[in-house]
Amino acid sequence: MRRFFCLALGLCLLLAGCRVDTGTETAVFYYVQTDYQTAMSTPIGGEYKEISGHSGDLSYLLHLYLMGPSQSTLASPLPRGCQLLSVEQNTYGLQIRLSDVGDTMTDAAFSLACACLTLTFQELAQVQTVTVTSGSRKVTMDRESVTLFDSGATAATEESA
Amino acid sequence: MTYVVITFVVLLILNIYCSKTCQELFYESKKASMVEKCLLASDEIGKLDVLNPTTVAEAVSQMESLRVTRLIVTDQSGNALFDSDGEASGSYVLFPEILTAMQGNDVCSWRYHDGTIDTRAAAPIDYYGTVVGCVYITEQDAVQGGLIQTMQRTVLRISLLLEIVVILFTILFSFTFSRRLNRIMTYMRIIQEGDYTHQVSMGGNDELTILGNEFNDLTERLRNSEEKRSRFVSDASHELKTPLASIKLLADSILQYDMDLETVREFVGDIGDEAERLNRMTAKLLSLTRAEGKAGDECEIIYMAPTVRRVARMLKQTALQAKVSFQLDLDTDTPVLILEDDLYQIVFNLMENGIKYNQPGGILSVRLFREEDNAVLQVSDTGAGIPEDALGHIFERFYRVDKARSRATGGSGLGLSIVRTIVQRNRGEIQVYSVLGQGSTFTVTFPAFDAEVDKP
Repeated sequence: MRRFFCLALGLCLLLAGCRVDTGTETAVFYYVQTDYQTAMSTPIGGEYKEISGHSGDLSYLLHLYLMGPSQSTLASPLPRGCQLLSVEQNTYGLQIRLSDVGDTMTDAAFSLACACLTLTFQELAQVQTVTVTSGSRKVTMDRESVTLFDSGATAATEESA
Repeated sequence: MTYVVITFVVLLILNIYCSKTCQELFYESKKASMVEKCLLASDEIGKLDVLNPTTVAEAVSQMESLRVTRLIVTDQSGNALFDSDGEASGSYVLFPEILTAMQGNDVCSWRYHDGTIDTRAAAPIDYYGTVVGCVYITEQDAVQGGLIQTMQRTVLRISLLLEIVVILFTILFSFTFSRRLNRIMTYMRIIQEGDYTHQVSMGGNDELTILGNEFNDLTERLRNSEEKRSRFVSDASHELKTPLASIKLLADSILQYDMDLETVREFVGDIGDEAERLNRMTAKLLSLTRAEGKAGDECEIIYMAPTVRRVARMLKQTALQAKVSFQLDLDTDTPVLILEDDLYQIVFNLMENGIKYNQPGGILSVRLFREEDNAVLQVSDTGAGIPEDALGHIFERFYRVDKARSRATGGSGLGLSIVRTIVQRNRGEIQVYSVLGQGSTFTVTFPAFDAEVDKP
């Protein structure tokens, strides 16, 4: 079974590599999977967005991120109305300041939002760490400091309130 | 092939169902204890005044009775304060179970891989009504997983064995079936070529055997039909040839020999008689063909007596010439379901025969009466009668008991054949009783019409 998946993955990668280059530049933007609680799967999923001509424009990219995903299976981790106050890249990493969303987000949800931003902008800005500040909250993350799933498989689930 | 695919799909569904059911059963038995363990741990940790890696590690060390594979404790932001594996300590642990538990829910999930059942549970750590963290535990059960794997493999092996048996059986069945079907096809081709002497022998006791028997019946009927057809053509040719030969002979005589006007007139009269006979014969052949071709579902409610009287009136002159007198005894109360034209034809032919083959001074007796649920028409003459060996043939086409007399009286040998065809088509029966030198009696029986039972 594992061999089959490896083969399928290899084929997908090969096909992706062989696709016709249309000249547009894209990047993966990570958002929250809408069904992760029922499927007990990885809570974060990505979608490609076109960033032609704006690859270095972090402010534009963050505004593009805040517009939310186009896929119905994904949802923005940040509440509606959340705005970008500033973005700064320095030797320590990327500093993102967002408007205060303390009233509408739990700490865990904020951590999840930070994880999404970290995964997205670590690649876009070529930085190790991403620090997100919103009101009194401040979270610094890098790829190694986030674990999203115990192992990579889906599972059945049942909840009780 | 269809059977193979169907059984394959059924066995596949059976395999998946068995596997899923076993896993579900195991999960159901495991779920309660996992959630209980998780709640126990979260209750213990919730009693701590301060949540930090040190205090949590101390609390966890006192919970050895939990016996879980992995235990993670996080704060409210998902930061791992304790991980029994040590991998996630200090990092953000955003497992779907943990994120769900952070919303105040107890959650349990499972998955099965490589012969191991991996069960996970998470519960929020509640501190005076506020979620301050989460406890996440996992338990891996290789023993139960191994049992499930063994069962899955056993079911799979049995399924494969069954599938092989089905495939072998299908091949055997297909081979036998096509061999037997080919036999029928071969005989069909032989029959198509006009050889009706072959009978297919299928053996066994299944649908193909029934098909083979039906095929044999059909061949037999075809053979009979073909025989009748060729006999009819032969008889008809012979019967039509005789008057034609007479006409030709008479015409040649007129042309070749010098004869007086009286003789010529006599010969021409004979030619006219032969032509008339030919005409009658053709008309009767046409009548017979129509009678055989007609569908039997047309009918009307008829009282037979008026028809018999009408025929008697029509044949009165012929009877007078033959010095035969009628004796009619007609019951007028019994109706039958038949077309009036058909009934007329039956009565006419029987009475005409009764006059033709009677003797001068003889009596033609016609009786109509009811016998139980049947209406009976009986036509009796006082003629020479029919020899016993001829009784079985008198309804055949062109059969004549006394050929010379029949021709002399203008008989075609088709009258009784027409009568029998019409009677049978109208659900009736015809019987003949004859004593040589005393006469013959033809009895035709039809089911009497009952308004409460029958529909016109």
